[in-house]
Amino acid sequence: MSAPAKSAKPEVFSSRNFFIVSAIGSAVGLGNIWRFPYVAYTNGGGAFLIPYLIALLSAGIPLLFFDYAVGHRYRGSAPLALRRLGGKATEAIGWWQVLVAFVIAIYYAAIVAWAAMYMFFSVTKAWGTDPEAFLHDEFLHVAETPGVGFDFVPGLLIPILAVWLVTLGILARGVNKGLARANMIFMPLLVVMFVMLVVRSLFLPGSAEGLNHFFTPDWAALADPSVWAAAYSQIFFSLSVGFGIMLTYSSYLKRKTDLTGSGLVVGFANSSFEMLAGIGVFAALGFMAQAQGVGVGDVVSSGLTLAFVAFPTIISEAPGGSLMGVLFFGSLVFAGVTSMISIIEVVIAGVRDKLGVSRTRAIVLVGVPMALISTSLLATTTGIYLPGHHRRVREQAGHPGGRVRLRHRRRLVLETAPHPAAPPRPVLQLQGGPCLGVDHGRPGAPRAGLHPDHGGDRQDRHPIRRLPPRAARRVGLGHGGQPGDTRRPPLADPMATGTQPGVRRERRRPWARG
Amino acid sequence: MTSIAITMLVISLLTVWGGLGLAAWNLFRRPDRSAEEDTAPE
Repeated sequence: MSAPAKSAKPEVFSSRNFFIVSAIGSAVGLGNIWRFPYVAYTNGGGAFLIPYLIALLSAGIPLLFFDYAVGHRYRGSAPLALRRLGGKATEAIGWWQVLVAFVIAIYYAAIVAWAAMYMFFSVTKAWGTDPEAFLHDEFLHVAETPGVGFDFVPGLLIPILAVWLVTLGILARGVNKGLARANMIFMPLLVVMFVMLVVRSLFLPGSAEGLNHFFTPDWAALADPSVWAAAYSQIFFSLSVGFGIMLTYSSYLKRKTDLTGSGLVVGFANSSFEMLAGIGVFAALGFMAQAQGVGVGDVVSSGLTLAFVAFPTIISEAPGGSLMGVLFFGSLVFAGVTSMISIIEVVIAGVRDKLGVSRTRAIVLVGVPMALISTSLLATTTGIYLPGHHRRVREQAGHPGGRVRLRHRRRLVLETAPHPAAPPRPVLQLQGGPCLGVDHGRPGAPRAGLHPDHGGDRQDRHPIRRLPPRAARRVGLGHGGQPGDTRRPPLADPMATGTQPGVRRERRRPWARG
Repeated sequence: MTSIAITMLVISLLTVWGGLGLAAWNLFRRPDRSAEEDTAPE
């Protein structure tokens, strides 16, 4: 039998506050900024607060307590702690969490890198008059043919590598000097920057209309189970419960730490930031709608489209837009890095416990390969086509049109003529003019400006017909997967898919040999 | 803004941010007993 590994100083958060800020840093990520506002808007607006709060109190915070309890009690990474909890069967759950974290980190780094580049682009508004074309053609250099290729784009390669270097460098310094210290610096900066952005957005013309759309309640939505499902989904994704992240972080806590008090602060801090993000995003979208002469509902978007198409449009049009851009994309970077640190830590901790190696060695063993995979797949002209969207993007590229947006709280909108193969259905026209910032955006989408099927004057259009969501679904219009539904899915949006982060103290020898 | 939107805005902020304030007050009024532990930081 191999000699036991040397015991090393235990890794702990030296202060409760370090843990709390780090946990908040993990929870507050890209989805808080670009997913929550859209989810809230499309699921009842102001009324969404009710299912959201119920989900937070009934599921989010209790599961947060559970994650904390398991990690704190069993003092191990996700696989190790769950093995100690329930044997090999539960250990498998921990490894599943490690695998999920592994995959998420690979594409998360790319999004953070994009945000970092856009922070610099904001200074000169490099996207010009067509942010969508800039994103797809000049920045991502999206290949014509979907697939997996290795035609590297230097403008992506260098930032993605830099993001990996920074995050792995932070993790290599350990829990206190690296992870905690990074969060103690980035999180206050994030809050300050985002508050400045929100305040600036609130003073833009049209912001009040945006906030009206966000907070006006649609009480009928509360009777729809999908709204409650959306609330619970948002809480799960947002709080990072069940991902092994909070479990891993809590394993670095000292014995006498107040878990429930910390958990309440983390849960409500995350929700507070989401609420702030909703205010800021919709205030900005209200300005955008007014500037374009359309309704707010026509410019609402989420995910990559919101961040890299809609917001650049806002930045171009707003007074002092460059500063807004730096604040917005800088916030994305800080939120993304702090979340990414937590995601990678799940993998690092799992490997450390399994193999009994040092932190630095674990980073070399898994962190470097993760960086290489991320770079080789996503710093290319085909990176945007990665799993889950390859088929849908190809379908979109060949489709002449046919897109449905189901707005739960507002109106049913069928914006274009259906696909020729689809059965004819009544065309319900969109109220308003140009269709910008389409709800999710996709490669090959119409450029900013008039949608190709929205020709003619506004006066020529029919009024909006309003259908309850269930009726809409009965006529074959609804969420993806239903017959006749040709709604275009979003770009690779981590949050949409669910997104979408020494020696262990009681172990004297590697777990694998235990 | 409409009155209903303002009302929901205020309720949302009071509930969520108020919850944060209460949670923070609850936490920080209790001393951090973990700081008394003799565990050498890295």
